[in-house]
Amino acid sequence: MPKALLFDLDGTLSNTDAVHFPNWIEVLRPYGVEVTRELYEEKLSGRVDRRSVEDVLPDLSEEEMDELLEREELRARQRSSEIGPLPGLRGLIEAGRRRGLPLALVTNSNEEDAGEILQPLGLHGAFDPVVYPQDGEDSKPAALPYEQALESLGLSAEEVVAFEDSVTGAQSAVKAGIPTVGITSGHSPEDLLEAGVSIVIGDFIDPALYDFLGWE
Amino acid sequence: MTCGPYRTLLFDLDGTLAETDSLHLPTWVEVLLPRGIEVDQAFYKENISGRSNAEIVRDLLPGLSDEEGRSIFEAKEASFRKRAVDLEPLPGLLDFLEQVKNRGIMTGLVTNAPGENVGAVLPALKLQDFFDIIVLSEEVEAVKPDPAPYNEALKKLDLAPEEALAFEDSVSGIASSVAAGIPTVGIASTQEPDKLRKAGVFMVARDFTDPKLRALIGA
Repeated sequence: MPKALLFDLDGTLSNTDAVHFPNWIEVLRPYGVEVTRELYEEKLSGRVDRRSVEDVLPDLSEEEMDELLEREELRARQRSSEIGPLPGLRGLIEAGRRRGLPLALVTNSNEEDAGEILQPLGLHGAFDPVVYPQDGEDSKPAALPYEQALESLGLSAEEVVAFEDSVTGAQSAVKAGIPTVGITSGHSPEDLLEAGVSIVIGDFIDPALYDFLGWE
Repeated sequence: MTCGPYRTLLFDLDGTLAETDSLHLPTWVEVLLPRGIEVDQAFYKENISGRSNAEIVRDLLPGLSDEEGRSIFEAKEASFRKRAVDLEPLPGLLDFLEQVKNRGIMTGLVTNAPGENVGAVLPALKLQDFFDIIVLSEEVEAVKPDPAPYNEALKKLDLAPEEALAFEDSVSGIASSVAAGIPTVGIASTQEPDKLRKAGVFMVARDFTDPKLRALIGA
């Protein structure tokens, strides 16, 4: 049985797709863009940055782009708070606490952004330790963030379990040698399995997870 | 489902609400010096800390009658109570407890300390009458690490273990609350965080100024 659980943040704790698909529909409508499922999956799901939006709206000025991205972030946060954590997450946290397991967060978000995601989910302060990206150091998909988490927990890779929803995140945990659970909130089971996860689940209610952890 | 904010918090006393080792140590120095035993920090950690008075006296002063032994630790506790007026709460404790009270969260004290000491320490911390319930091991007739004191607290409050959250600073205290099925936070006032994690806490805080603790009560 694991001695600690390590969680990714965005997409692993909440349902990314349920937030971002309707969010892009709303945010891009004023620009005359109709966001279809195909467009969303091709360009806008997963890690979205300025460049992916430029692909969809090539003629925006820098100022307009800033405004759009800011609006997108704000509305995504509001949607997250309405949707709440993925089903079963609270139960998993509670079961972990009763077993005395440290629950760590390993995220590519900075401290401020992480706080803004965790707060509306009611999970602010639920995780300790929290590993944020360090200036000039490798972030996911490199193994370093997970290695740092293991170091501060004083545990070895095979003693913990990681939860990741993205291919790059799963690669990071797997490279660190950690048995990893893939959450299919934003990526296909095939992609996650290819990245090396041991098991794929849709949310934390799935009893297969408890079997995997060796919990009753 | 809980996972915070918790509706009931249960606290250990010695080492969790206030650092009391620094009072117990000079008290033992005072009591044992006339009997030819010099107590220093290392000796205290090795032979005294975390053990019951009866065990300590039996090991350090073998050959005493039960009555002589009892009179020694009664003298020791009386001397401790005189020193207790100088106790300070752990950093952030009073602010934290005020937030707890403001949110209508229930509180309990669960301690191995003798009732007379509790009566001396709580006023020194300005916490007399603060706790909704107090469970003394001497009343339950089982001391931590036995889960009985925590089980008794749950019974008095009519709670399931997962509805409560315990705060403990020692390995034997954590063993007690965890065996009772209560999620437990380690306060690393006297022990290293790693030692508390191994004992079964899910989270460690240095003291009550740690913002993680506020999240647990929804503050």
